[in-house]
Amino acid sequence: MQYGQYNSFENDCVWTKIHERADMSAMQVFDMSEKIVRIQPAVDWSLVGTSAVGSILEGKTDSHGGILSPHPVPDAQLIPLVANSKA
Amino acid sequence: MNALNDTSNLYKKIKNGEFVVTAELSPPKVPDLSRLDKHLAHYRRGVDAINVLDMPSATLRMSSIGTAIYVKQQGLEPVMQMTCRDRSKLGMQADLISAYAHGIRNILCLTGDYVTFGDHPMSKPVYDMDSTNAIMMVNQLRKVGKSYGGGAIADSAKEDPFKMQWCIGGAANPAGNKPEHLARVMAKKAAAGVDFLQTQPVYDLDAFDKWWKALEREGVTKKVAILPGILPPRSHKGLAFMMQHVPGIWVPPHVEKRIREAQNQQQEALDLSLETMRALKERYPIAGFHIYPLAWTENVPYLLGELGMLPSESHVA
Repeated sequence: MQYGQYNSFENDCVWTKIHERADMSAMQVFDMSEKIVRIQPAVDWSLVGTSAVGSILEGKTDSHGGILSPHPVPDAQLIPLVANSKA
Repeated sequence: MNALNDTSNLYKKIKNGEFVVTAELSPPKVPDLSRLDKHLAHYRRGVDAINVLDMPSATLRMSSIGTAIYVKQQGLEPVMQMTCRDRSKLGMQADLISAYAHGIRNILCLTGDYVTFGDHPMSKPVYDMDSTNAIMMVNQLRKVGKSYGGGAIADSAKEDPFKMQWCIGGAANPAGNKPEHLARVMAKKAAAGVDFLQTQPVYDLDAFDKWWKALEREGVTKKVAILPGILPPRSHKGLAFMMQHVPGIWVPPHVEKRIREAQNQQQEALDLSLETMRALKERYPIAGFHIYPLAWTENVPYLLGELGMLPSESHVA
């Protein structure tokens, strides 16, 4: 067992896998290592069952799936990009 | 009862740079709050705030809010834990307003153990948001007095939004195999508005050191109060159970061996906890400790007494 690995193999932290995959060079096309350090808004359940592409075209979400106004989101000043967070 | 616009003593102490101690309290499974009294008695000296768990391991217990109100009524300061597992955005905010009205000022935002870990695997896991979004939601209630939906916390349009003075906490794991990844997540929590981070139990000081340095690189240690977790296991059996069944726990082999081979495993675990606490306090600018006594809350005054952190009886509120 290596340093810092959890004692229970079944319960390895999923975030480690997510971050490792985001940092893979193949994922840079999708700008994943940048996206992973952003605070993503919670799911907007009013959009469930609607078209994702339609939501982008209608200006309800951005092209990354982020929620845009008029859907409720915390104030812009409270959704900062995390500065200096590129490991 | 706190004044309506007053924040918590925990918040004031953290902002004043005072060393703080928090400890956990598990709500009872039966509707009998008097069962908590013997544990609360152990927390009256030296413990600044008491974390009231929100159905840990997704197992049915009395609610965090109901128990936190009782702790408050007993003259102690609760930290109400709030998971995202069981309530929607609407339900979480309703509980936040209710808790605030009852004088609760500290909140610990957690994503929450998944329902399959507990005794209701058939229950619906809600997860309307994650812990970082929950922190951001509480911070918005605090900073601008607006709900997640964007509406003002006010009973009429003429009224100024009410800004609830929450002290916001989050959880952290100092022993993952990629500290830089864990530090990124903590940086997000810091940006979301968290005031303090309580960690999982620390058994590996080398792992903690790597994690702390990663936090420093992210600038988190300057923005957020860090409270390392201390959990003295009752026995080697208890330690082994945690190692096998509790997510996020890392116990290095030499620590496991030390407890396993001890004549008095309980005392050895307490000695180990004391060594860990002394080392952490000496090496890092931590803001305090977060103690997980499990059912053995008498260990809290013992540990604090050995460290010279137990105030005299005359200083008890």
